Amino acid sequence: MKLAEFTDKHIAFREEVREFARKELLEESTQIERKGEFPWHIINKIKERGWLGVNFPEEYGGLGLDTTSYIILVEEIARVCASTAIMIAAHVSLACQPIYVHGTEEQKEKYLITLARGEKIGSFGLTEPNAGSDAGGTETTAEFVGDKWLINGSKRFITNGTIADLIVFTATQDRTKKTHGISAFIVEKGTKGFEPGKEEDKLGLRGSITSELHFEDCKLPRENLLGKEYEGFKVFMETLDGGRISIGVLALGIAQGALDYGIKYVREHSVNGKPLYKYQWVQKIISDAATEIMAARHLIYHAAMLKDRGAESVTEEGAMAKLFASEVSTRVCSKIHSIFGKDGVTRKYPLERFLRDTKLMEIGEGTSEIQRIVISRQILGR
Amino acid sequence: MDWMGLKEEHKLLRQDIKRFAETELGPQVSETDKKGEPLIASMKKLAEIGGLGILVSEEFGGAGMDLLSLIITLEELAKVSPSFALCVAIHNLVGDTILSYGSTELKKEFLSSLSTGKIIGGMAVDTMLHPVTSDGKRERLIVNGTFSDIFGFSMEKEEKKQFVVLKSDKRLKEEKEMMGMKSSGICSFKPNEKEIIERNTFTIDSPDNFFAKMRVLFAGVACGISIASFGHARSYSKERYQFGRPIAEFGMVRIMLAEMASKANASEMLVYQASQESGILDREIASIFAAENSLYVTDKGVQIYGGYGYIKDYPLEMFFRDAKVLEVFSGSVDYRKVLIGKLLTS
Ligand SMILES: Cc1cc2nc3c(=O)[nH]c(=O)nc-3n(C[C@H](O)[C@H](O)[C@H](O)COP(=O)(O)OP(=O)(O)OC[C@H]3O[C@@H](n4cnc5c(N)ncnc54)[C@H](O)[C@@H]3O)c2cc1C
Repeated sequence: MKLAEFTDKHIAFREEVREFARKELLEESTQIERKGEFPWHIINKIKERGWLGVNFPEEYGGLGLDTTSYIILVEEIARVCASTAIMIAAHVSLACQPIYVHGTEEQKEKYLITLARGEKIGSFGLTEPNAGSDAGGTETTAEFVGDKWLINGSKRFITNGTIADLIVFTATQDRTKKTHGISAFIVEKGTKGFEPGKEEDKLGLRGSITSELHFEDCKLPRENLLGKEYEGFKVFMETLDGGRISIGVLALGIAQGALDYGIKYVREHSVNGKPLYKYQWVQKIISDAATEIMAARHLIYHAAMLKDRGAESVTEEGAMAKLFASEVSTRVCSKIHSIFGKDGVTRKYPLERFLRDTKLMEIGEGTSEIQRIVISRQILGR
Repeated sequence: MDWMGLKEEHKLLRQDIKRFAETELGPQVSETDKKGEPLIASMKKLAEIGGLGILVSEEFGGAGMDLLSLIITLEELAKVSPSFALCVAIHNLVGDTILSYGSTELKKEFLSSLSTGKIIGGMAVDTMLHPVTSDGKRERLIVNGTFSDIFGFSMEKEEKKQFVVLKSDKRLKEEKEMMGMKSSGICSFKPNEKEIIERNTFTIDSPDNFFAKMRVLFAGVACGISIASFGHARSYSKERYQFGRPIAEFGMVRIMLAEMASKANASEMLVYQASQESGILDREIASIFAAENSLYVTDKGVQIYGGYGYIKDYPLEMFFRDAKVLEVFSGSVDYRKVLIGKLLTS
């Protein structure tokens, strides 16, 4: 399908990623998820192409492409392997982006360049056992003692947690101030007092890593504060504004991947001697899926393109895109799945993986309920 | 929910099975699901309280109970382990099929051993509604396959639906990797025409009835999944605090809970009712309703658990996968709806 607003450069880039996904990822994608091992060799190839910093300026080690190109990248990768796509999304939108937007020149020099070049892997630690949807309820503490930050607390469900070289995270300096007491920091792997913890055993995205993080009297240099003191909430809210588009496009890519398989399957299989695609019940599933995917694609690229045109905020558009695309994707995967009958629940086809993978998109970076709250606040006010 | 049609015996049975499921299956279910191990020893134990020959008459060593009793049993088992409930559904169905359509000889040979759990029966969940490749090859999935002693499957012969019972052999040993129902010993099997001999083959003279019965049993399992998922989500919503209060206090969470409860309860009522009516249409409607709603309920259950719904430390992750497998075992839902629509207008 075509989007009217794609430039020739976008289309060329999409072809390039598509080709890569088909050649390097397609065959292995099922194994990646089944083994539940992080696909380093794939990530290395992605890194070589500069895609781990696709939308950052060249002076910071990036490729200098726009947000739309980044979104195209995630879509085409997710269409084949969502585990790989979420790793990229967490690295780019949640680790590189806040440093790019809120980092000092020194921080960009020190961290963003190696991240964007893919020499280091980034991650984003916001969620805690008691602070999920209520991320403002952060309990991890930061105290300025002597000339260092003293960090104590734990994070949970952190994508890339155990493999990240660098993690952007939040901690509170003053719990009584609630969201206004939170600051954002950067911690590097190997820092004393910081230790990634247990990896989660998940429903899907099993080729990606989700883990705990533990801070015990972890000391960070003064300059590891990201943004201003007490403005951590702002840092991560802005980060999530953009991050939502990438979770939305992950869902979109998965839905498209499921539809791709569905189309192929209904052409090649029959029931009672009649090809599947000739049944109206099949035509209904396929056409509804294609239509919903198209609508989701418009919402997502609309939000991305607004960002590229310098829109001040894409909070509303990003939340709508994520909400819609993630719910569409679960519906589409489940429906296409049902055409496959029992072929849909064995590992013979990747359909069952798509369904398990996509459910996260209704939960991560703000559940669907939280998106609805965000959208209604934009429309109705607080 | 208490349905008016439940008799005292059904209520007692429910208590027994509930206790069995909680004490016997409860402690094992999470580990066996992760490892994909069937609970064979537990099946033998279920036999001791009559759970393996529910529909089989007493003269053949069964419990001689009604379909509603079997559905209640499956429901209670599924609340703890849907996989195990599926195993029990299939085992009971093997016995019932032989009882309903088989020769006296076969009944004598197998029924009492099946009812007492001396042997375990497996069966293909193929309902003819599953798509095949253009070359027409059909691979069948046998539930209980990897640990069964005998297994059955249906096939078309001279335009008649035949049911074949075979002794299990090593072809059934290889487990199929499934997204859910991981403890059901599911394996694939391609029948070989030659081994189908007359002695162990019989005609199913009302195939529509046969399939409707299979589906209504699966619907019993689906009801168990829905009710348990709702129950877990409800408890969780009261314990989980965000923004300083239990998430059960948020309107959107309440809506999900209300929808889950209505769908779970309505499914159960329909399935109970269908177990009392022998009409195919009632059973088909009840089973499609229960199957679709179990998907909805488990999906919203995961949603209420948030990130914790996505990991294996909490029960919804398993229920979500199991519900999906169960749904397709009865045939593609939309295709079934087309058939129901046909029944409704013919
Ligand atoms: C695979 C995976 C990867 C992840 N990656 C990251 C990551 O890289 N970094 C990171 O920081 N986090 C990450 N997360 C965490 C994720 O963002 C949280 O799980 C999510 O925000 C929900 O939080 P929670 O799990 O605590 O659920 P809860 O907040 O406890 O929510 C439970 C339920 O309550 C509802 N609810 C909560 N509050 C309200 C309200 N006010 N109104 C209505 N309904 C409400 C929710 O919608 C949900 O249905 C990841 C999670 C997973 C599973």
